[in-house]
Amino acid sequence: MSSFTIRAALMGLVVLALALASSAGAVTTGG
Amino acid sequence: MFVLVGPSVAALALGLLSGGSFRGLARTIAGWPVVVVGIAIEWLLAKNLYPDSAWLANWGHWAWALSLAAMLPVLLVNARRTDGLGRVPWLIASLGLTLNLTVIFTNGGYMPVELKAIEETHQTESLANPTRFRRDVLINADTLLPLLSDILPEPAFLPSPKVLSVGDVLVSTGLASWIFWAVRARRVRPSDDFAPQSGVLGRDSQPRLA
Repeated sequence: MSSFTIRAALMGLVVLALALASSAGAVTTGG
Repeated sequence: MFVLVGPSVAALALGLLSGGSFRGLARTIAGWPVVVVGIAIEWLLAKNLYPDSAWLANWGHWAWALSLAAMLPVLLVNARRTDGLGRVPWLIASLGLTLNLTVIFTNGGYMPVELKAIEETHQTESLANPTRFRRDVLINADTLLPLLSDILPEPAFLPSPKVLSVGDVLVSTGLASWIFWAVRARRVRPSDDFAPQSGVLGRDSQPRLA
């Protein structure tokens, strides 16, 4: 697996993290 | 969580099936360290490691609100440094986050949530056993902008269904659209792999397109 592919995978994860970090969905168990 | 992540995964699959390239995702997301720190803060708050902390009870929701707010410049900077149609997904996500922040900051740093939606997502048990830190409050007569609050329950058949807001749906839609656009757009040149960066949100971190 090339570093380029790894970089794409990491940036994909960043986008998913961004979706979660930007969300205000109700999680009533303290978070 | 499914509604937040599912569309992005589906967008990736659709992009690949329609002839796109996974390597299109190698474009640097400006401000990615901010995202990592933000998700870490939210995760730590959600873990509720210090349930008896008075500080968390009084200020924890503001820490969460500020970590949420820190994502807005990330979205806007990425919109600014992207040309053409690729800018639209970032703007959609920015609008969604702005709606979330608006309702949170006008309600004292808490996200209002509808009781009926909590019940539909089987989270009533947690209401009966509240922890000291909370980032949401039930909608009542004093709630401002209830239509922008968490009023959209995920289908109960999904694993760990949550209650979402209109803003959440826009964020999810925007970022899923960006994934589809990135996968379908021209590839990033391998020579631009680890381009020098001028800063966390610097324009120079954007690799050139082939």
